[in-house]
Formats: sequence, C-alpha cells, structure tokens
Amino acid sequence: MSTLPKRIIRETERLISDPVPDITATPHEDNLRYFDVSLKGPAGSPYENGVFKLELFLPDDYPMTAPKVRFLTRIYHPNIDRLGRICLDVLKNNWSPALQIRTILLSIQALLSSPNPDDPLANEVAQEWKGNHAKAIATAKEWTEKYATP
Amino acid sequence: MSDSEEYEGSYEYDNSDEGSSLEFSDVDYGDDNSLNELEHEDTHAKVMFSFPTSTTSSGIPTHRMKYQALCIDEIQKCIEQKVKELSDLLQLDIGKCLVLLLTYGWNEHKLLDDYVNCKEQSNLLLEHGIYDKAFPSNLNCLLTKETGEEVICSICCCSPEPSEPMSFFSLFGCRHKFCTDCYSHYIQTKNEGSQVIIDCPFSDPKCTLKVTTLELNVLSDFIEESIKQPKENITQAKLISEDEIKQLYNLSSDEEQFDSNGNVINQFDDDKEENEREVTSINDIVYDFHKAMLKREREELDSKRNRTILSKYWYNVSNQYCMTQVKRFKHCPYPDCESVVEFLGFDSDNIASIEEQISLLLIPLVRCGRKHQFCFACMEVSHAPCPCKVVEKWKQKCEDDSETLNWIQSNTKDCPKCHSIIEKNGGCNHMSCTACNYQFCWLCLGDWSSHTNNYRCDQYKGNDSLDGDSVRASLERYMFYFDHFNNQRISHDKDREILEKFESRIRELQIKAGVSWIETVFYKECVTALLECRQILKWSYAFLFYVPKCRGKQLVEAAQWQLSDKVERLSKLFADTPASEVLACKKSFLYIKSSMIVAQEKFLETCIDIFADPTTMISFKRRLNIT
Repeated sequence: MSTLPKRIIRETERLISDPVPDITATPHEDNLRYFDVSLKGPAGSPYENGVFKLELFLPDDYPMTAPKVRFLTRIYHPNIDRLGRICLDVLKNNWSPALQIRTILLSIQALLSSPNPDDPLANEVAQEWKGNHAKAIATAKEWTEKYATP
Repeated sequence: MSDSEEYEGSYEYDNSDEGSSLEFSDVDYGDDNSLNELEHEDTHAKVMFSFPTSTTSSGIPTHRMKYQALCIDEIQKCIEQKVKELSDLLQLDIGKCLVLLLTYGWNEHKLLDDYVNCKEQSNLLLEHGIYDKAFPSNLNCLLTKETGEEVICSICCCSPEPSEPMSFFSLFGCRHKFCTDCYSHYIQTKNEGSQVIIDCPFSDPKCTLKVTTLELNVLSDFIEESIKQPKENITQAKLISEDEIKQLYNLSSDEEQFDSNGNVINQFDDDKEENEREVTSINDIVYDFHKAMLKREREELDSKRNRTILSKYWYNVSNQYCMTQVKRFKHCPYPDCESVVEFLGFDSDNIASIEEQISLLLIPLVRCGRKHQFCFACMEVSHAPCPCKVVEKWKQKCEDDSETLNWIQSNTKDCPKCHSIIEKNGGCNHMSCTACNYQFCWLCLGDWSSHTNNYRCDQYKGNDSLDGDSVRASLERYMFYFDHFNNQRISHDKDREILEKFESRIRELQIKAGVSWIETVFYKECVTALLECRQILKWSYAFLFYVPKCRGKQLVEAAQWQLSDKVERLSKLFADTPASEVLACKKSFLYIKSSMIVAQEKFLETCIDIFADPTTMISFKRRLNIT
C-alpha cells in the first residue's frame, strides 16, 4: 500500500485532537482512507436528536477529487436518496482541493438544516416536501426516531 | 536526402545489422512525410464544397455546402484573434477577455451589451471572477519562494524545510498561495475533466477568481522549466534502442533469427520469386512495424498535447468553442482524428440550412484535414448516394428484417398449396393447413396421402416454384439488395485489409528503388479511391432498394454498372500486380483510377438527377415515410 499523504495524516490528527462539535470521524485501522462518521441531527431540524452514521472514503487522488460520502442510516431528505447518496455541490462541481473532510461534514450538517427540494435527488421526497410540507416534516421526524435513535 | 543523414546517428545503435537500419530509414522517411502532409494541409486551409460541381451535367442544381477543414490549432488561433479584438475594444487584458467569453458561453453580443450598459464595469468583472485592476506586464511576481515554517500549502499540508525554500503560486487578484506542484496538479485535474473555467482553489471563504491564460502561462513555464532538468532522459527516450526494435519486429533477442531475416530482405532483390512464404512473413513484419510506428506517432502526438498545462488548457478551450457551436463545427467521426470541419454556408441562395439540404435528398459530404470523408448532417462515414434518411431507414430495416427473416426461415415453412406461412409448434409431421386444409408432410412438404405404409421422405426434393405472392417472395427483393450491399461491405473491408498491408510493402520497395516518396503517392490515392467507390457501391444498393421503378432508376442502374465495372477492374489490377511491379505499372493504375472517378462522379450525378422528376421524388419519399 502506498504511504498516506501528509495531508491526510494532518487532517486525521486534527479531526481527533480538535473534533467538530456533534460530528465524529474515525479512520478504520486497516484502511486509513476509510472513515466511520457519525453526525448529530442539527437542532431545530426534523433530524434533531438523531444520530446518523455515514461512511467517508478518500479516493487515491484526494484532495484533487472530492471524498466519497454516503449516509448509512436511512434518512428522509430531498437531497439524499435511499442508498444514502448525497446531492451536494461541494461534493461534486464545487469541490476544491483546499476543502477538507471537516468542511465537507459541516456542509452535510448544514444540508440537514436546510434541504433544497428544488434540486432534488430523491424525487418523491422532494415532491412531498414542496406539496405537503407538514407531512414531509412529520415523516422525516418519524424516520429519525425509527432509524437514527440510538 | 538530408533527413536520412540526420538519422545517421541512430544507425550507430544497430551498426551490426543492415536489415534493421534499412527498415529504420523507411520509417523515419514515412514519419517525415506524414508531417509534411499535415503542415501542408494546415497552411492551405481553403473553402471546399460538398459536391464537385454546382449543377449536375444535366443542369440539376446540387446546392452544395461550403466548408473548411481545420485542425484544433487553427481553432485556437481563431479564438486568439477573437480575444485580441475584444481585448483591444474593451481595453482589458487578453486572459481576462477569454474568461469573459467563456463565462458568457461565447455570446459576444450579450457580453458587449452588458459591459457597455453596466454602471460599474469593475463590478461586472468581479462578478465573473475577473480581477478588475490591470495586470502588470510581467506576471513573474505570481511565483514566490517561501522559506518560513509557518507557510503551509493547504492542499498538500507541506511547509518548506528550513534549508530548502518552496515555490508557491497564486493568482494576481487574490494572492491565495498554493505550492506550485499542487497548483499544477489542480490545473491538470481540471484539464482532464475538460473544465475551462477554473476557480482559484481557495475555499475559506470560497474564492471565485478565475485562472486566466496569462497567469497559467507563468505557472506552465515554471513547471516546464523544473521538469527540464532531467532533459537528457527525454531525448534518450526518443531514440529506439536495439532491443526495442527487436520487440517491434516481434523477434526474440535471438541474434541468429534476426540476421537471417535481414538476409532475406537483402536476397529479395536478387531472386524475387523465391520463397513466397518468407516474403509474406516479411510483409507482415513490415506491416507490424509500421503499425507500431503509427501507434508510437500517435502517442507522441498525445504527449505533445499533454506537454504543458497551458497547451492542454487551450486544447480544451478550442474544443469547447466548437462544441458550443454544433451547427457550425463538427468533429471528424473517425477514431483518433481530431480534425474539425467548419460549415461556411451554401453556394446557392435557394437553401439556407443543412436541414433544408437534407429534405432535398442531398448529402453534405465533407472531408476533414486528414481526408476522412463523412456526412456533415448525420456524422456517418460517407454514405453517398444514399440520403441520410435512407441510411437511417435501411439500418433499421436490416436490424428488424434480418431478425424476422432469420426467424421465418428457421421456424416456418410455406404451405405447399396456398403459401401461407406455417410455424410448427409441436406434434407430429402430419400437417394440415388451417387456411386451405391441405394435408401435407412437414419434412418433405409432400401430400400426406402418399405417406401411409411407412413411406420415408428423408430425401430432399427440389421445391416447387412459388407462384403467388408470399411474404417470402416480398423478402426476396430485400434480400437481393441486402446481399449486394453486404457483398460490397465485405469486399470493402477485405480490400482495405490487404491494400493497407501492401502499402507499407510499396514504401519499402520505393526506398530500394531509390525513387522519391512522391512517386508512390499514386498507390495510396488509388487505394483510397477504390475504397471510397466500394463504399458508394455499397450504399447504392440501399438507395436503389427505395427508389421506385422509373426511367431514372434505369439510368442509375446503368451508371452503377459502369462504376462497378471500373471498380472491379481496378480491384483486379491490384490483385494481379505483384508488389515489385507496382511502381512500373503506375500508368495503368492511374488510368483505371481516373476512369473510375469519372464513372463515380457520373453515378452520383445520376442519383441526384433522378429527383428532378417530382413524381419520383414524391414516391421515393413516400416509401421512406417522409413528407
């Protein structure tokens, strides 16, 4: 296996020594590019009190390409599909090599606070979100309780 | 000639081997020629037409399309010119103008409108990620040497060692510094993704300043300079080592075998007829070598393209420019060809668009800078005389009908009496037709009444001729055209295989005979012409399938016969002439070729003339379900 770039070592060190509030990211022992992430649902959102598990992988050409992130816990959100894939600009076109794991996870947390049903990934969820907002929020809360409560 | 002298040096690599040096000069020679060819075509870009004449000899207008064959570098020059003009007009740095054009999707009109009408021009610039103050004439200040340990490149997280300063690069407008390695890697990643609008990588908060070519130039030069250090390695890689040659020749490092082959090459001049087998094997070797060299050439061309991040960036910009004007520019559809054809209008005022030309059943046939012929409308390899619509229908028909046909042929039989198509879906061989109630045997199609008392019918008896119109009969017409179409396709492919193989053989002989490369050009020309005519013949069958019975059809068929006759004659000449005599037979080749070209032009004209008759046009279109 190739040696881990300095950049990844630095980032990992900082994630552990100076963790982001409500977010943990721990690398696998046998693969230091693979992280187990857990993320608390932001207060004031239907995901409040939920703890969501994600996986994060740093591809070979990281940081030139974005990390690959996916929700493992099921979540009712217009920009996250049933496989946990996330539609987020900084993970795609707006990725910049100066961004970090930390900033990406914060962006994901922000996405939970402010979903964007106009640029949906899960179409049905987005329709519900726009057509029957109250019901969508209720479902999101229900799912949070069902799947994301420890 | 002077070129071969230049390569004297490389002879030293294989001084022990006459054979290899011979091949070596052959290839270098070919290499040079192809370069000349390219240069020649690049500098002589001129207006060309989709049909040789503006009317057919019987006076029917051909409404030909005007076009120009370009290479990607010419597109770049054209963009540079455009940018320069804009730069003069707006009094803005060239690189910034390019970014503006890119962010405006090449809509110069809207750009100028916005620029002139906006209150604060610097705001408009900043909005588009362009620094509003003028760049200094020298941008070398973008490169800095940093020493302090507190300096850190936030992409790789590296800081300079106390003893060794690190190079950093930043854009003039924001001065967000990243180390030159990361910056160039960043640009490379963007280049690979064909992204032409590139932001500064800084992200906290996001910097939207765009990288301009002026700045890119500084970085690119720096990177070039720094990889120039091990330059010797690069030049060395260009010379082929002895081992490599052997590898190209597909030989083991066994010296003996190599020598004996070299001898065979030498012997060949003395006794030509001897050892045909070995000659063919040499042919194969030369061919393989030639192929390997072509591959090498291409790789070199690729590496040239990737040479600097700036040139790659320009390459992407040029491509993007063409892509945004798909009606005007088309990329050559041939594999590995990067040529572009530019649409320049028509030579008649009666039509305005390609669509209109297509509706007149004409074909906008073009040739790219590397002489590849294709249809500008449907981007298929040349399909004259078939209009695009016919090609589409024909292909669909071949796909649909061949399936149906196969199924019908393998699963059904006609009732011997009423010719209904019958599928046997189980049961014994005693069939009774549901249409006419005829009782017959499935195996021999004979009357069942003769099958009693252990009658055996495992012998084939010639089928009765079918009168009456069965589905099978209607398929027959299609099968006729399809067979001919397919035959030409196969001939075309086979001819190409053989002739291309031969071509390298001819080149080899030309070296031996000591004649100029120009002397052998005719061979290549004849091959190309033959293949193109075969292509035309092939499509002519699809065309004729849809042409209704009319007087014009007979003329087309007559012209087709003429062309096919010439094609066969040239093909025969190719087959009958041993490689060693090709050069001597130049005149015959050229003679038949030119008469073939005449027949070809005549044929294509006849195919256009046929639609001068409106009733033919209408019933033709009806057959194709177009209005």
